[in-house]
Amino acid sequence: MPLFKNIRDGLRNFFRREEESRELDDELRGYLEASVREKIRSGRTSEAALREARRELGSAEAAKEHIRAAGWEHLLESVWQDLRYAARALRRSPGFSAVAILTLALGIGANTAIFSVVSAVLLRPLPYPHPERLVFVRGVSPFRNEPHMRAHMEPADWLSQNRSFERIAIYVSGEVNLAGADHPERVKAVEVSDGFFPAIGIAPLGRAFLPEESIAGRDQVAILSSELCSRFGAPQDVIGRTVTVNAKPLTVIGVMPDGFRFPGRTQIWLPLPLPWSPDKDGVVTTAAIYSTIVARLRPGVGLSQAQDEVITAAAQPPGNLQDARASVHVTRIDAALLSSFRPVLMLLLGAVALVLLIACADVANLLLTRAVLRQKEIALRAALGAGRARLIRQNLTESILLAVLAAAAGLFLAEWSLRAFRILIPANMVLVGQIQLDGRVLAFTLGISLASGILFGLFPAMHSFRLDLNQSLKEAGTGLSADRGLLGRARSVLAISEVALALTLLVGSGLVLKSFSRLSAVNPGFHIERVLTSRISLGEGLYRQPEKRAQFYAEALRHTAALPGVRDASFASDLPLSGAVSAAFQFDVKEKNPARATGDAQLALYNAVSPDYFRVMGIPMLAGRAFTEGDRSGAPKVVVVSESLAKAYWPGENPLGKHVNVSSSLPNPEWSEVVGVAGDTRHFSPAAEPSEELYAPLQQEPPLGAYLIVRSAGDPATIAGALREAIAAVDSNEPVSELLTMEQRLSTSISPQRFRTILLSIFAALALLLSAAGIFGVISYWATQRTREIGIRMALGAKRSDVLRLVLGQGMRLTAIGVALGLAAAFAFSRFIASLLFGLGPDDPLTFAGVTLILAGVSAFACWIPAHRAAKVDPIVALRHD
Amino acid sequence: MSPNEKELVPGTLDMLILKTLTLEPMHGYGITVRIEQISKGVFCVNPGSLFPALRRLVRAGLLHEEWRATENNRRAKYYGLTAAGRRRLKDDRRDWSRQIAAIDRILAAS
Repeated sequence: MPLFKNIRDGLRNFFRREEESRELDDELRGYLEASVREKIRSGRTSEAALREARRELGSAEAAKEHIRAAGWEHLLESVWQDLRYAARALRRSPGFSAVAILTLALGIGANTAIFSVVSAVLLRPLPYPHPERLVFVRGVSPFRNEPHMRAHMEPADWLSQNRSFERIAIYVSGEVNLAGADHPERVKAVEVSDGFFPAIGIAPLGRAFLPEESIAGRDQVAILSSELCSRFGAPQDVIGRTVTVNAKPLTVIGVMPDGFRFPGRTQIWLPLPLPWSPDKDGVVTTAAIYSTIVARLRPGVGLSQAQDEVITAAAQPPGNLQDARASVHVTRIDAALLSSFRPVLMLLLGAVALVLLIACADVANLLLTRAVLRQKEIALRAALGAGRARLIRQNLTESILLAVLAAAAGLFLAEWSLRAFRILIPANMVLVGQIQLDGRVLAFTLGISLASGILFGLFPAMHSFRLDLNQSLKEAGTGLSADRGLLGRARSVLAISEVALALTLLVGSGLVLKSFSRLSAVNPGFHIERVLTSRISLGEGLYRQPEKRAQFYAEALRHTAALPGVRDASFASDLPLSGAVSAAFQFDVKEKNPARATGDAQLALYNAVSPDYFRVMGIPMLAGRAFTEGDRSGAPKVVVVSESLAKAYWPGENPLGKHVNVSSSLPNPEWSEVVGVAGDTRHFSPAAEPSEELYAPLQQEPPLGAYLIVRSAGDPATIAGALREAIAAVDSNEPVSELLTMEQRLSTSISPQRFRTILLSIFAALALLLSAAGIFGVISYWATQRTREIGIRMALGAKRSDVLRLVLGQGMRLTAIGVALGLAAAFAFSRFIASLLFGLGPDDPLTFAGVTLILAGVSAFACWIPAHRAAKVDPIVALRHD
Repeated sequence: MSPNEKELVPGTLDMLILKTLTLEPMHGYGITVRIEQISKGVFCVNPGSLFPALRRLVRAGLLHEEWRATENNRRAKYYGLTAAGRRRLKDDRRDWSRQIAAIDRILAAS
């Protein structure tokens, strides 16, 4: 067992040094004696023999050191020695150590915090078997040119003949009413085809859906998430029991394992009735037009191969293709789920990397200054026989020790800032509980701290490498000649790169900050203040007939309007900033504009609203009239269109009196007259373009669920409770959900932008501060080095202002070079964040100019302090200065 | 380093030590003397290389070590071959012969 013996012997020597040392002494003495005896025997005198033998053996200590070096424990021991020495050195200059550790801790802490988010969001593999083989099959809709998962064919049609996929499943997401123990509740539901669970590769406790359960009549089954199940009891008790979903009794056949919520945050899975069609009145009521195909690739099948096959299949029965231009995309689901977060997280990671680089440059500068002060000590060590390699190792040990201490402090900073992250982070990005300082994050922190320790340690190490022993010992401590040539240049290069890096980051964050302020200033087209919203969903049982629903809405509106503090109230089937996937409706136009290509699908957002909707939301009527109480069932059908829709379909014409057919799937068109034009709204987010919208009277088209929108006299949050009671007074079985003010909805809607803006601003401020500290350090040192020179100049008649100009000029020269480099870098870098900007280009000249001015100002101030100090110097004192 | 030191062929020290110890366990000085004698003074092993090599071989399990009385009744550390050491020596010798033969052939070829 050589390995075992090696380790055992090494450990024994390491821990029992004295014994080991004595043994070595014995052995070497024995060798010496034998050697001397031999030499005497061959005729030398005893002194000559001893001298010769000693010379052969060399210094006893050196020989021992040499022998020890053959074992691995020797390295450990000398590292330990270096560490102790480094710790002593750091303790001796506590001020330096504190500044260096704090500087680095800021950089390392920021990196650790951001990496823990990256680790939780981007690096966590999906918890499904072989996630790399799971794909979304998406069609591209012509509407708004966004890929939004619209299937153009029946999966069943090509399921049988495909060669690329092991499993194919289709699902439709929405919400259902779940009758609970005490009050009804709105839960996230998904209708899935029978291949869904096998495709994902996760089986429920109990069983998955059977193929025949997609047939109407056999579909009275449900699968619950473990979180939803826990409200009813343990899984084994709940399976087989009945739950009431949308007033229908369903048998629970399975419960998903803990944490399985795919897609999104699904709580209940229901069988998808097949053949599926978007017009079908399914269990899931919202946004039924959107279906998603999820599939599992066969092993070894590539994405492009699968895509080719799908496109071929999609084109085969031409009748199935609703839009000839539609093409199909096959994307990995992990990439698809993360695609919106990756650019932001990469940007933040890049930003903190820059901060860390600046911190490293700062510390390298500090170390360089200290290395000059410690020149004598280093020269002494070299003179006593420390090899250059050993000196460099000692230097690096010190800087790595610094970095590791900083990493420990940085971990505290990271943990502390993660608390803020957990509040700031957009809710859809990651489950907050998953962001933590786990093993991977700790490994990352250790890695970057070691890397930065080596990075900033190399400068002073290089310094000791170039040390001229005699020169240093003679000049010990003055450091007068030390800052010439390479070293002085190294210092300048450090300062310049700090400025350049900081400017790059400042430009990036300046652009993002300005985008955010533009975004906040956007008029969304509707009121934000004092608007309370909530969603009410009617179970299907009682409200099968549209008349019943119309009756409920009228009654509920009457109760709500009577509440104290309520100014106006309205229902609407859709709500701006609701975050729901709003349905794009296909409609027909009677008076077609010949200029508009006939092939274009005519899609618009559809919203059934009460007469007061436009007043409650503060959407102006630009022409015609809003709806009235007279626009009820049986009255002539009317619609209101948004300005952008009117412009798109009837440019230059009066839209009033034109006709559209909203229910284009019916065989006989039912034409509705356009009676009004409403102002545009930014329906999806303030960052989105205004949408083309169609409004219909709620009483003519009563939906199965609607948003209740209330404009209050005072703080809208105070009437939330009363609102809930008012609805319960009409029908206590219908759940009220999403009780939110419009301000809260807006805040959620722009939370991704806010998240990155706040973080980037903090990092940029940090970079500015650190780089200013760097410039300050370099210029202070430069001025101190020239104290005598300054004294001579002043003695020869230079004025204070000349000295001020001299020092300031040196600093601003470095700054100017840094700014030039930084501007070039920022120009290249800002291109990558163009997609994150709003309302301005990546080379917005005002931002570039503004941040350059800020940086130059801060840097001038940082140089002014040492310049001022230098100018105050007494020439007599300065001349004596050595 | 003394100017007249007779350097070993690089990389052969381990093999020479192993060979020297095939007959009987020896102490450090004995090994030096034996190598010098057998090579008729061509090679001289410096203690500065000998002892690290011995420690390395002990660690690798090729040698065992033991404190014993010398012929002069002094205490000295004796090194002897282990079974693994013997196997290693056999391998080293075979490799060595092959290399020497190859080098000879190359030198003879031109």
